[in-house]
Amino acid sequence: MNTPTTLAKLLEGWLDGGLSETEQSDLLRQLDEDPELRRHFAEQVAMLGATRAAADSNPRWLSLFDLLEQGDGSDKGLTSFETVTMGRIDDIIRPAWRGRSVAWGLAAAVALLLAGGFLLESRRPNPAESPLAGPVPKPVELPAVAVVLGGSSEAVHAAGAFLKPGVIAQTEGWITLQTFKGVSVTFDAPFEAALTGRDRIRLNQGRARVHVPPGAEGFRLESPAFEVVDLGTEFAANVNSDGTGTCRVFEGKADVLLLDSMGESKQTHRLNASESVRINPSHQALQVIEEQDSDYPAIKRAPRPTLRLAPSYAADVMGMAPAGYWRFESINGGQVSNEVPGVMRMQALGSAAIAVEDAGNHSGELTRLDQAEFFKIQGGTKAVFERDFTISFFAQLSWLQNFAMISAMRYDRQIKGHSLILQCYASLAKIGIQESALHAVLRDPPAWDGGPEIFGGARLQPQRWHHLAMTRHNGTLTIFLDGDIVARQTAGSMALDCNEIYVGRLNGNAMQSRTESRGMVGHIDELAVFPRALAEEDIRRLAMSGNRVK
Amino acid sequence: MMMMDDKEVADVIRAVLAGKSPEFSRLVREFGLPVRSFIHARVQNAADAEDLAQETFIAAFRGLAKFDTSQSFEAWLIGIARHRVLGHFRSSGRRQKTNELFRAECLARIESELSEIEGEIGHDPLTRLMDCVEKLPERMRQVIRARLRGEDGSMVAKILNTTRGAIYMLQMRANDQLKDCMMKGSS
Repeated sequence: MNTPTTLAKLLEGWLDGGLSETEQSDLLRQLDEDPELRRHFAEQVAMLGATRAAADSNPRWLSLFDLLEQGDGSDKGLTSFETVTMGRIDDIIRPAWRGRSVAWGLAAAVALLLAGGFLLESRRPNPAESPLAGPVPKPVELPAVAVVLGGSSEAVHAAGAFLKPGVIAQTEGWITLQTFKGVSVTFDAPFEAALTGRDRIRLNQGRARVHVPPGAEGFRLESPAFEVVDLGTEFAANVNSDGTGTCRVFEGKADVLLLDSMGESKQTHRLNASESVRINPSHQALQVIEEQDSDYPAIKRAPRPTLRLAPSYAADVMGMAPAGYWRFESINGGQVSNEVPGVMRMQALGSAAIAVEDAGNHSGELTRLDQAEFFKIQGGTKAVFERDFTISFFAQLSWLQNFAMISAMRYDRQIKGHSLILQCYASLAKIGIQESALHAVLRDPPAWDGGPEIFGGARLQPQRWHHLAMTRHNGTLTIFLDGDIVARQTAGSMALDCNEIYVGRLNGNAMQSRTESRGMVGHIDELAVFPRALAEEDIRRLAMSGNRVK
Repeated sequence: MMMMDDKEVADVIRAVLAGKSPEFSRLVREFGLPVRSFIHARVQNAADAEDLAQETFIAAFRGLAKFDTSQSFEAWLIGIARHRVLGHFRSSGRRQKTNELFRAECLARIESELSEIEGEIGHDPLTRLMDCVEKLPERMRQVIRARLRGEDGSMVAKILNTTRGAIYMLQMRANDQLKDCMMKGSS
């Protein structure tokens, strides 16, 4: 193998992985034997690191993104490294109240919340308490990282509230949050915690139980003296005011790291299911202990809501003459039946299934991030998107993430690209999305990039049925959430050339990465497509026929 | 971009230790890029790399009283960052993933060369890097752009309507040109 080929292969393994063990061994051997190859590969790695670090640089005028994006301002919401780091340092200063009474600390936290200071509005510690104490950085607008799933009557945030990085504390009751990666956390009062990222929470004091779904492994629960790193699990931790604590794993496994005063890991213990450990920082010790599952609070969350439709809903849809209408009642021979006789056929692929809700409603179910599962519609799709069109459906997302809900593709030997994508985003700093948003793209000819796109900030909530619709009318694209317009923009009247519609995924390649496939996790129901733009009042009427609407 | 001299760094550290903790943000601003470059070069997952960079500064903040101001603050930070990166690769969860193991093995083999190159490139490469990226042919810029957006090799190949193999060659040539350009600027 010559050097460029070997280097290209090394880059492939370094950047994307996927090499066979034989290829890896061979490349490592060559690195061992060839100093020139080592030098050249190190140059490659150094340049990759430099460009990545420069991409999010601060000040903004030096951002590599701006240069590459030719100043389109697409990352105007970028949060600087400095801001995030100082925010985390602020969270470290905060536990200075440890050692005083819990009541004082929680009272201070509650006062902080009442003052509207949830977002990095830190209390100012007494300089006498710590040599590092003093005024803290001014608050900045950070994107949300979690949403409240529910709580007791004492909860400081209502269900559906979006939470940005900062402190959350309660003296009574409980609250369950869900990060935008799908990690559910129930805190039992009294507690004080700091949300520091979508895959990281700092528990300063109190009890928390954490459920990490497939795809979100690596979540970290930090505390002043120890840290729990999830390896695909459900676990709980208890942090006391003196820094001691316990951790128990209920399912899967997790690593517990004992930290020193610099926050460096000094000792690690892997916990498997039904194992517990006690952490004592003053003794620098992790001690295996006997506990019961019942010693910890359970994850508290409301049951998945059912979609309740007005009795006339199906008749209303049929009265609007759709080109295709799928009610997700059952799967027969791999097919979901279309209420409209014709050529449009929907297949259920992978582990895509039909779920039956408590109140009896049936819906399409997509549950796995780690598999290619989706519904695919073929036949007659091009005719729907030739000119004006409408897509209408109900969706219930298990959590908020970048999920492709509907995509239309042209798949043949010459063209493999999208002509339409409707997807949701959650807190995408690079494009200035602070909470959640809907995003649509039209492309002609079908492609993997480019085309007019439309963004609309929208308060999507996980575990709740939402009605979503998209229309194109005389070249104007409109996105509706629960009957309300959340985005409207001219997008062109080109005939969209597609022969496949994917529901719950960007396209059907099982080898795609999660980023590439944007597979949805959740439920979908009452999908209808129309070869014309429905009137706004018709969209609103369909949305109001579902029980989730205001 | 102006760099702080050693005396200014020492003054900021003294101020932080005297209770003016917001002053630490000056150190984060000043040394954020070298620390992040160091970590991004070694840790492929961008989110992990950013976390580790933040943790490096948090550890520095916690241990600031231990820093000897007659020494290089950047070298001290890089030492902390190196420790964090090693901890990252040592973490048992990642050890089990073949791709991570391969990266860790590669890194172990090229660490001394990598440190050497980082020393050669110099102290503040950002403005030079920007100039050098601007000079790249459009197709190479497209590869870098798609990569920075988080696309993997297959997707970049689709976007540029070429093969995966060609993408890695393009990436390699882009890196070569950047390195040559930056070395030229630093000499």
